[in-house]
Amino acid sequence: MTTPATPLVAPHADLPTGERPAPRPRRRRRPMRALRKLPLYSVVAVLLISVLYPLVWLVLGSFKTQDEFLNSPTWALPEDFTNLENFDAAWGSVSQYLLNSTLAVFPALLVMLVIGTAAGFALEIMVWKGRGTVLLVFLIGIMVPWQMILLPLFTVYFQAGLTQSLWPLIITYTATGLPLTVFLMATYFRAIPREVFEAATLDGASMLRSLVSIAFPMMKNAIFTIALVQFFFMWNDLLIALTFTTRDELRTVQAGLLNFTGEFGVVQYGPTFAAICINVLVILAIYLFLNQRVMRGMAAGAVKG
Amino acid sequence: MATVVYDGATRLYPGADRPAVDALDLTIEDGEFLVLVGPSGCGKSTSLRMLAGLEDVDGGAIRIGDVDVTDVAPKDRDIAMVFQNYALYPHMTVGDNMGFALKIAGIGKEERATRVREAARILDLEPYLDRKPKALSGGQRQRVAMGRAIVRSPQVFLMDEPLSNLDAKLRVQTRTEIASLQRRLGVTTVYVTHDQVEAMTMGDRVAVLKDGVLQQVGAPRELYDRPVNAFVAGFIGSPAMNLIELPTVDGGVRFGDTTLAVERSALAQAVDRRVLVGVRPEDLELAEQGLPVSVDVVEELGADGFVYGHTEIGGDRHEVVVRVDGRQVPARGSVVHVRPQAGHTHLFSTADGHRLA
Repeated sequence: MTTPATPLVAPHADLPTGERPAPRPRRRRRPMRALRKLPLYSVVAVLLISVLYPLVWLVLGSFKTQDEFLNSPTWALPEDFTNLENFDAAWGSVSQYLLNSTLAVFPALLVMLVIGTAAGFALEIMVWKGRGTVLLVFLIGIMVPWQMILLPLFTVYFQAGLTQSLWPLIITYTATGLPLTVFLMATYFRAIPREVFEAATLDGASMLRSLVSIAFPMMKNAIFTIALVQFFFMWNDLLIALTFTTRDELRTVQAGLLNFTGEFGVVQYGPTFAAICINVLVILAIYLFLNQRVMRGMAAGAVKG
Repeated sequence: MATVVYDGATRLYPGADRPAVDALDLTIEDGEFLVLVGPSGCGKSTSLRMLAGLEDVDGGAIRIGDVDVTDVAPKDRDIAMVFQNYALYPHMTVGDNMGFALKIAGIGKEERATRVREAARILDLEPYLDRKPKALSGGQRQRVAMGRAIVRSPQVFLMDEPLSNLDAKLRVQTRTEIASLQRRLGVTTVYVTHDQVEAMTMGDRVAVLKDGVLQQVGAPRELYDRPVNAFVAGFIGSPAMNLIELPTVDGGVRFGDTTLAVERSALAQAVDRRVLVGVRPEDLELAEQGLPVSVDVVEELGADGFVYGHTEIGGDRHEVVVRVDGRQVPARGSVVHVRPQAGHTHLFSTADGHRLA
């Protein structure tokens, strides 16, 4: 057996000192460094598992039949990963719930953002007597526990004849979201130099034009951020939806999932899991779409741009 | 283009006990470059914003041309303003920024583009028309702000410290550019600054304000040579004029071991036989006799040198600055004697600071 000849001279010894490649970092320390970071990795792993495991279990469950749920161990994998019957069964009701959620949440979101931005503009940019008091009133709105006012609200909606529609949800979502939106928008507007709007005034822009052509585009990222935060609140709401939806056809996704049972009140686990999966996927898709803008919006208020 | 008249214009902020601008009377001629200058809080920016319509006028009137604009909305005043922080619209390109006012005025797309391009050509901004403001340097942003003003061909330009965000070198360069651009366009311009060097170099006339009250308005040379009061004397000029309170004697003022001859009429107005004597650093010369000055610091600037020292008169310490030949500067710690050159002394009242002679 031949061994490779050991070089007698160190490699690159003939090169001037300046041209020699830098010595490789010593590898002996690596295990130590990894060991030091072990607690950190462990914490991250525990967190990841606790977040991901229910989701994985949920997705796996959505492929199982009712028989598998009842007769196989809880941890068993589904027998057939191509079994989409649960999704098919769930879609019948969930599509209606999704439509209801969309019809309730998006108009509310739009109205809330338009009014919130306009109010923030009026409270921070325009000069008028009593604006400090009005901002305070909005702030008080944040402190009111809205769970307390649901029953009186129900009476009002009932007397107004609105309970057989999605209007109670749209109105309540808009109203409960406004205080925080106005407060955040006012804060974001405060970071914009007032001169920008004065320049617009001198350029001939009316207040409405300043709001539409200057304020809205400049606040785009802030609006997206608030939109996302409020969207999750509205989409995931259960209490308001449960209180104001009187019929199954009006149920939103969350209220619908709570009552997602088959005939005779038997819980159909497979379709329920599939329905939850659909809901999660919708939210995830919207979040991924808006994520970049949200990150920019978060930083927008931090420093003067 | 038009004249601008402040006719007793007053601004009193709610809750304030004295007006920010107090009965300002000022006429700016057609095509003139007038600089409003003064220390912080003197009301110069408020005066400009009153003219722009961004501040209410609580008393008096403001006229542009023959029109009383006191209660006219800012957009109907036919003015354009350049702000200290430029106030560009960050979401619009340079071209859109400059054309925004024209767009609102309902001017067609083609004419708008032509006028924006023309303004951009004047200001060397043509390569940047499609960029957003954040992709421009400070100097370029400043030019865009200028462009936004000139593209509208307004009757009056208003500029609120437009150079204060630039570095020293760019400031000097832009100063000249703005002044020559204004001469070329011939538009009446009101320019606010706290920098008296800008005021002296740019304006046809300079108006000095203090505590909301107009102190003096005149050509830069007039302000420098014949300040109407001690405040203007001390504010205009760098280094500032030496202002020393001295006792009067028969026929003049005691200046160290010499006597400065002063008109009797001026001496007659002296309060408690004391006057405020003002001498610019370049008007003091080293002499055998005169006011003894202990040299604290010497600034050598090449051709010239500035001696910063102090003198004591009646137990009071007074700071004194003297300009000397840069090649023959006195040593620090030494005592020199100075006296004013003949005919270059200013005399002010010790009571209210007004000019006596």
